[in-house]
Amino acid sequence: MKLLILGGFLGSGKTSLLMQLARYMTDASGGTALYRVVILENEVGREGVDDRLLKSSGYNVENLFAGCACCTVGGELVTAVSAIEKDYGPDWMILETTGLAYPGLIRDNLRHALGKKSRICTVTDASRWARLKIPMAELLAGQIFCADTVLINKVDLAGEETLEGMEADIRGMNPGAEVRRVSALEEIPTEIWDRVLGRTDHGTDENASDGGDPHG
Amino acid sequence: MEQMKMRPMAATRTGEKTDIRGTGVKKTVRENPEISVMRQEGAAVVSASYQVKMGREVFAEMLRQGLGGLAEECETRGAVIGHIKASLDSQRTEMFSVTERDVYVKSSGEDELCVRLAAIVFMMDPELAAALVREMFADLDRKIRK
Repeated sequence: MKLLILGGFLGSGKTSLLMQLARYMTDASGGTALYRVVILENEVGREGVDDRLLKSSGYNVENLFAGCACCTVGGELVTAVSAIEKDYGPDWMILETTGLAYPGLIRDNLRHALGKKSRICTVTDASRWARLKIPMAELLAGQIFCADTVLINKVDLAGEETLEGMEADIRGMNPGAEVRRVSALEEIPTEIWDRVLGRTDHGTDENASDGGDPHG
Repeated sequence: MEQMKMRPMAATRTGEKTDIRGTGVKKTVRENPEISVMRQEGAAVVSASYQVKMGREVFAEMLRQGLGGLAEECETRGAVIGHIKASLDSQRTEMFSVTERDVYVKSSGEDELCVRLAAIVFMMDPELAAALVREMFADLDRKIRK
C-alpha cells in the first residue's frame, strides 16, 4: 500500500483537489479502475464535514476526528493506517490532513511505527498567501518544507506578480519541491497528478525505490 | 526544522442535560445545536451539529446567510478565519404499503436536515467563538419559527 499525505493550510482547497485526484486514480472509463484507493480524513473538530462529500461521491473514506494526526491522535493514526491496509488492501491510501497539521511529522510517525514511506503533497492558497504568510509563517513553512510537490491553488484569484512572489517564497522554504500552479475550478492536467503520485516522465514509479527517504 | 506540538485544551461539550423523572431513571436530552470547542495550534476549533425539519432549499439559503454573518462577526472582532465549513445532509422517508392491490405511500413530510459545522478561527477566545456559533443557530431558529 502506497501512502500520500495531502496537507496544506485551512481552506486551501485540499478536499476540492482530492476529489479530482481520487477520480483520476479510480477512473474506470477504460473498463478497470486504475487504482484501489482509500481516503483517510483527519478533522481536528469532533464533526466530520469533508468526509461526507467524499463518501457521497462514492469513495471509500475512513475518519479520524477530534484531533490532529501529527500530534494528538498520532497513535490512532497508526492504528487506522494498519486497519485500512488489512481490511481493504488498497493500492493507495490518501490521508487528507487537517489544515493545522505538519505533514512531515505524520510521515515520520508512519515511517517509525510502520516502516512505511509516504509522499507529501502540500496545497497552498494563492488568494490568501500574502495575508497569512507572516502571522502563519511557522505553520506554512512547516507544511511546505517537507513536501515532494507543492500545488499553488486558486491561481484564478491571484495576479501574476503575486504568483511569482509566492513561488519564490515556496522555493525558499523547499528548494527541492516540485511547484505547480492549479485551480480546482478547472480540470487538473493528469501530468500533475502523476507527479503528485511520484510517477516519472518515463513511466517508472519513484515509490518503488529501495533508497532511503530523500527527506532524511 | 523544529516543529511545535501543541496539546489542545480539554474539549468541553455542551448540550447534554439529565432529566431525572420520578422513577429515578436519568434521561439524557441532547440540546440542539450540540456544540463543542477546543484549541489546537493557537486556533479556536468549534464543532457543532444541528437538526431541523423543513424544506432543504429554503434552509440551505438561510444557512448560507448565517455562515456569512458568522464570518463577518469573527472578522469584526479582529479574528482571522482559518476555515468555516458545514455539510448539510437531508433525509426524507417514505413508506410503501400493500395489503391487497393498492399501494399506499406515506411520507415523513418535510426533509429531516442535519448540519455539521466546523469553525476554526485564530485570535479569538474559544468560548467566544462557540458563543458566536451558538448565536448563529439561535438566529436560524428564530427565522424558522417566523
